[in-house]
Amino acid sequence: MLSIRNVSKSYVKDGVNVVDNLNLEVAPGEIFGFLGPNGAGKTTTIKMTVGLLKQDKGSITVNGHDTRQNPLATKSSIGYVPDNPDLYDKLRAIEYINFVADVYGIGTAVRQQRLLRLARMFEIHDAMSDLIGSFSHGMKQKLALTAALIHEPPLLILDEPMVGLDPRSAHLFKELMNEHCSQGKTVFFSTHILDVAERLCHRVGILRRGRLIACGTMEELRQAATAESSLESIFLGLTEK
Amino acid sequence: MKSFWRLLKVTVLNYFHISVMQETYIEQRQRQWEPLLFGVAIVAGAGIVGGLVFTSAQLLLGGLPPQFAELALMMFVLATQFMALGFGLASLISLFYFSQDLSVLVPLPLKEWAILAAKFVVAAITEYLPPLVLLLPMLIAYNQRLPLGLWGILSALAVFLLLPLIPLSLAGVVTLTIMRGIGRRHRDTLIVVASLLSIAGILVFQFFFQSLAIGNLDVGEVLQGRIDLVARMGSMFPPSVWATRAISRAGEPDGLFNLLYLILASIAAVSAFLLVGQRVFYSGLIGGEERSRQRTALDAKALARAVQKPALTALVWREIRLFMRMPIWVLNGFIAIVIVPLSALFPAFAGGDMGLGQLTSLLATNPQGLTILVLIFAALLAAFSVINTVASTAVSREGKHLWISKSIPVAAVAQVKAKLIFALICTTATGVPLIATFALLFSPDFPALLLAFALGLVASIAPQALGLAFDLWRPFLKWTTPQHAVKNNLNAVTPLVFALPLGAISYYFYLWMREPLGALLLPALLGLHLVAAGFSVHFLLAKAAELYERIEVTT
Repeated sequence: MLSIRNVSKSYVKDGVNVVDNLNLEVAPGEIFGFLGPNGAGKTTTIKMTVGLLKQDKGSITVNGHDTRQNPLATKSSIGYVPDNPDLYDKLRAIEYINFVADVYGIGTAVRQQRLLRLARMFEIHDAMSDLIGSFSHGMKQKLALTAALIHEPPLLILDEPMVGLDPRSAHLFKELMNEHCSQGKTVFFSTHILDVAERLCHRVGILRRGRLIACGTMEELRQAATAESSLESIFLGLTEK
Repeated sequence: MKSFWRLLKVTVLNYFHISVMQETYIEQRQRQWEPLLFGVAIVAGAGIVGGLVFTSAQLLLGGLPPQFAELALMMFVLATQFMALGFGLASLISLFYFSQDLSVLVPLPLKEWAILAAKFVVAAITEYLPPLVLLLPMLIAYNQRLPLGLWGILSALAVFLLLPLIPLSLAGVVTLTIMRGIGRRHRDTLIVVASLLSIAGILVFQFFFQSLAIGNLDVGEVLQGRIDLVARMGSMFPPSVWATRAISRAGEPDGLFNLLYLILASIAAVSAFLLVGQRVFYSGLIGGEERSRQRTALDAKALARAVQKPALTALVWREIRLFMRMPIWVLNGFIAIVIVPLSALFPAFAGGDMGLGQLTSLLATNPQGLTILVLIFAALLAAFSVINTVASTAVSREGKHLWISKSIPVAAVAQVKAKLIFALICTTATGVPLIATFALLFSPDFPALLLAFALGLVASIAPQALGLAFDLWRPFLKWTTPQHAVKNNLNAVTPLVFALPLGAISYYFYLWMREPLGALLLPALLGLHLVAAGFSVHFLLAKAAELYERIEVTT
C-alpha cells in the first residue's frame, strides 16, 4: 500500500538530511506506527507522502501510484490528518465536509450517509452547522478525520492524532483505526504515545535522525532487543544510542 | 522599566518580522534578493509619491500669497493627522484584536501599561510613513518658498515627530473602548463598525473642506488678516493649528507657545491612552475570550444541502466564502469601491459641487465626450480590480491552510482557475456600484454602459492573472493575522506594476488612434486588452502546475 524507497530530504541546500535514505513498506490492512523523538523526520516523511513536500531523492508509491509522477491518483488514495489540523475557521463544518466530498467526487447520497455516520461516531453531529472557528482542538481533529474518511481512502495517514485529545476522543480514534483496518484498508500514523502504538499497531518503525533504526512487529522488536520488554524500553534504548 | 524595554524589543522583532528576516536572509542566506527588491520598491514608491507631493506643494505655494502658504501647510498637517488617525485605528485594531501574542503576554508578570505602551510604540513606528511622503515634501517646498531658518527647521523636526502621537492616542482610546464593548471574539463586527466609521469620517472630512471652499471667501479680507483661515480650518482639530504655527511662526514667541501646546497635548494624549487602556484593557480582553456554547445540530435541512457539485464549482465557492467572511480582506479590497461612488454622488446630490456640473457640460459639448467617459469608467473599474488584492494574494491568503489545497486530488490548473474566476466575479461585482454611479451622473446610453463595463472587465484580466502568477511563484504564507496576509504582502501591489505599462499603452493608443479609428476606437481597445488577457491567462495556466509544485508546506 505504501512504499518508501531510498527517500532523502533536506530543508537547506546541501544541508543535513532530515530524512536520510529511508526505506519502508506498509502492507494493505496494516496499522503501522511511526515512532521517533522530536525532529526525527516523522512529519517530514508524512508530508512527502501526502504531497506537501518534495523529496530530494528516492520514490514514494501509494496504492501503486508514484507520488511525483501521478500525484492526483496518489492523493485520491489518501486520507490525511495533520498534527495540527488548521481548518478554515470561516467555514461551517458541513461546508468544509461538502467541499472535501466535492473535490473527491463523492455523490450526494453516499456523502450524506457517510457524513451522518461519521459525525455521529465522532460526536460532532451537534456542531456540524457551526463555524469551525468556534471548535476546540479536539473537535477540529475529529472534523479533520471525518473529512479524511469521507472518501473511504485505502490509506489513512495521521500525524500525531492523539495530541490534545481527551480520553474519550482518543478512544474513538483508536476504534476508528481498528475499524478502518478491518475493512482491509491501511492506517499509517506517527505518535509519541508508545502505549497506543504498542497496543494498536501491527508493526512499528522507529526513526532517529532521519534513519529507520528499527522496524517490525512488537515481537520482532522484543527479540532484537533481547532483555527489553516494553516498547518504551526498546524505544529509549534505540533512540538514546 | 527594564521589562518594558525587553518587551518592546520582542514586540518590534515579532511585528516587523525582523527575526524571521535575520534567519532567512542572513543566517540561511536564502532569497537575499527579496529585501533588495522590497527596499527598491519602498524607495521608488515613496520617491514617486513624495516627488508628486513635492511638485504639487511647490506649484501650490508658488502661486499663493504668504498668508495662504500657512493655510496650505496646515492642510497638509491636517491631512497627515487624519491619515495617522485612520492608519492608527487599523494598526491598533490589528495589534489588540488580531495579534496572537496577548495570550502569551497577559499571564507574564508585566504591567498593563508596559503591554499597552509596547504596542503603541510599534503602531507609532508604522505611522511615520504618511508624514514621510506627505508632510516632509511639503515642509521642503515650504522652506524653499519661505525659508524657515534654524529654529524653523528644528520646530519642523519636532512637529514631524510629534504629529502622529495625538491621532494615534485617539485611535487607541477608541480601539480599547470599543474592545470593551465588542470582545475579541466579535472582532469581525469591530472591523465592519470601524470601517463604516472611517467611510463616514472621510465623507465628513470631504464635506467640511467643501463647506470651507476658498472660492466662497473674500480674498481681500484674508489678505488684510481680518479672517484667520488657519484658525477657521483648524477649528475641527486644534493640534493642527499648533503644529502649523509652530513651524510657520518659529522663532517668534507665538511659534514657541504653539510648539509647547503641541508637546503638552501629545503627552496628555499618550497619557490618556495609557490611563484609559489600563482601566479597560483586561476587561475587554477577558470578555473577548469567552465563548458561546450554543451549537447548531446537523438537521435534515442542513444535510439536504450536502449535494454534489463539480470540483471547480466547489473551489470557487470556497474562495468566495473564505474571502467574503473575512471582513478585513473585504474592506481592504473593496472600501474604495464604496467611498469613490459615494464621494462622487454625495456632493452631486447635495448640490454643492461645481466641478461635476462643469465636467458634465464639458463632456456633452466635446465630440469625444462619451468615449472619454467610457474610458474613465473602464479605467476606474480596472484600477479597482488591480488594487483589490483578490487575485494577487489568492495563494498567500491560504497561509497555514495551504495543506488542504496541496493534499486534495485537484490539479493545480483547476485550483488556479478557481482563484481567477473568483477574482473576475469580484471585478464584475465591483462594476455594479460603479456603473450605477456612472448611469446616475451622466445618463449614457445602454451600449455605452455595456462597452464601458466590458472594457473595464477585460482590461483587469491581464494584471490580475499576472499578479496571481506572481503570488503563485512567491506566496507569502507565514502571516499571523489576516491583515498581515494582504497589508504586509508585497505581492498585493504586483498587479499595479503590470497594469502601469498596459495603462500607458492604452493611453497612447487612444492618443494616436482616436482619429484614424473614430467609432472603432473602443472596440479596437477592447480587442487589444482581450489579446493581453488571453496571453496572460495562457501564461498563468501554463505555469500553474510548475509553480504550484514548487510550493512546499513546511509548517
